Amino acid sequence: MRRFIIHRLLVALLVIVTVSLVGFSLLRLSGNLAAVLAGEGASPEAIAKVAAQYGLDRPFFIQYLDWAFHALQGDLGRSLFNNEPVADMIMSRIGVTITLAVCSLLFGIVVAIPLGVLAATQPNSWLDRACLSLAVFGQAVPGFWFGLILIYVFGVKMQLFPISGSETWDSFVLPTVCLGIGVMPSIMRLTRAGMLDVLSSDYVRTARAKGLSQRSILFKHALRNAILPVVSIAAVQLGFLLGGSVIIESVFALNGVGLLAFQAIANADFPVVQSILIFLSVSYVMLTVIAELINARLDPRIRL
Amino acid sequence: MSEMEVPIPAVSQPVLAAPAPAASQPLTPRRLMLRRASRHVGLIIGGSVFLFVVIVALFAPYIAPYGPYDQDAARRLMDPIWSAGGSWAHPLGTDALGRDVLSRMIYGARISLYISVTASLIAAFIGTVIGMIGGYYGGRIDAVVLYIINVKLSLPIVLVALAVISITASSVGLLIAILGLLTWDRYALVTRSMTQQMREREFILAARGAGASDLYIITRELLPNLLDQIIVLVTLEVAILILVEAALSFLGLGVPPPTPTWGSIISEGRGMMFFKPHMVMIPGVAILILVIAINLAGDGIRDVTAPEGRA
Repeated sequence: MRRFIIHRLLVALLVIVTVSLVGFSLLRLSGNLAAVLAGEGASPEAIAKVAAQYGLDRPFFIQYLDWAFHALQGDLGRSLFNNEPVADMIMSRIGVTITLAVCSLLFGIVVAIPLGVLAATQPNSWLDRACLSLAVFGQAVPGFWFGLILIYVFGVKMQLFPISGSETWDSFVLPTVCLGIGVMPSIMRLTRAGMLDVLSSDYVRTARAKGLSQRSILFKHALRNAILPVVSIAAVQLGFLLGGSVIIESVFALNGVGLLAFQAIANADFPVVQSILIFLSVSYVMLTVIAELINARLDPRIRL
Repeated sequence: MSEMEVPIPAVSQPVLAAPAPAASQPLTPRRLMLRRASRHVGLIIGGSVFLFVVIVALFAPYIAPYGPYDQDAARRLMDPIWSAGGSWAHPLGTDALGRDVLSRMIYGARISLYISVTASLIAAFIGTVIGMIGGYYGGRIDAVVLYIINVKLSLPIVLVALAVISITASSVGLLIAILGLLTWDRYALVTRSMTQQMREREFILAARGAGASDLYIITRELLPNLLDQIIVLVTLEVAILILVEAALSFLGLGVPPPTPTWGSIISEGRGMMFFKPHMVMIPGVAILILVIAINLAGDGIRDVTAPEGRA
């Protein structure tokens, strides 16, 4: 087990280094940053001056090492827009994004698992079809558009929830539904498939023969085994949710990291964009490693 | 059905040698597939809707009643036909600049489909090459492939696309390239594991024994067997890319205006949503229906080509 963990962590570290390199180079390779910063129609001298000011005239690798050295000490540079330290900007907003991602994941799980279990108990019934239709809808609805519809119906017409901001708990309700509906289909399908598998197994038949109640069989015996793959996908989904928050936070004006990234992109504030990009990637890598370790703990076969 | 069927070319797939039914209609794999397809409701409905949109998109200049940029200042913000103020001159109404919404939707379908289909073909190519190399060679090469896939998976697609587009000037070609480069991971994962499963099968060993080169085995023996799966993935990825493209255009960093896409039409209608909700409803419902249709078709193709894997 220890060898497995060390090996996984080493690979994750390698991926993190690469991802930071990719994130760092993306903005530098996709255009002349100094020219973008100097503004449209700037003279070559002005561009050269800007490049020197931000150290963009140094060799690429030196720039990266310099950045990485500071990043490891928690210094991600300063925003070009308001000169605030980038690390502080991210830290002051990460709570909103994590709250939104975790709530959405919980919403997805709370809706998907009971429906997946129900669907599996009566395969091909109207109930199964209804659950499947909900999954099809969740998979196909454009999140930003669904957000606008939720704002229109529940925010403006019925005035049940605030339509923007992140000051109170109820301003998270609509964004959570909006983001969570996208997570729900894969969890529901996995639960349903897992339950179908388990319900036809011998030990469930034994439990039935013993005369246990349907509820006890479903939730005590079957679900515990069917849910294994859901645990690992949940952590990975959390990573996607952090990355997917850019759109939803913009729609609902939730003051999280996603909105910050969007505003930074609009302001050509590249230290912020690059830091968020790398930050989200690294979080994703960590979450997948955690998922793998949880899985290895639950299912010893994976460790071999 | 006539007895004088044209002989069907043998499928290279190693079909389990089932005893041939001695009935008057030999059930070749292909005929079995067609029969399953004709009974698959989801495939028929999804496929028809998708085909309809493709035809509309292809023949946009002949079908659309107006040009996508034609402005009629006298007829701005007209209601669609089902509201009181609607008229058949503009069945879906007009936008704030007096442009016909139906025409913009039709031309928008063209751009959205062009981007998503081309990008997923690029992604399919990249992903299949990477996945098959990893699956076929295994060992260290496979470790490198897995590592590349992991790096790719950890990049947040929307954020990377937004960041790159904001620095380079946005254009349709650039958008296709970025989306293609960012969405090949699923192809790589699927083709890699399928290649792994297949590489020790008899027909591959036979080809190797007969002296076939690796390139020959990968392209002529393995690839044809993966094609069904790749087609299913392309379909499902087109649906995802339609959503991603719409989101990018909605955020104003997708296809540059005034070119209509379904996402940018929603974005334009957003400001008027509270008194003209149809400006947002129409393109949104269109995206929803098209994506559902493509998903149904993709699932249908999977059921029909690989019925044993049906959930």
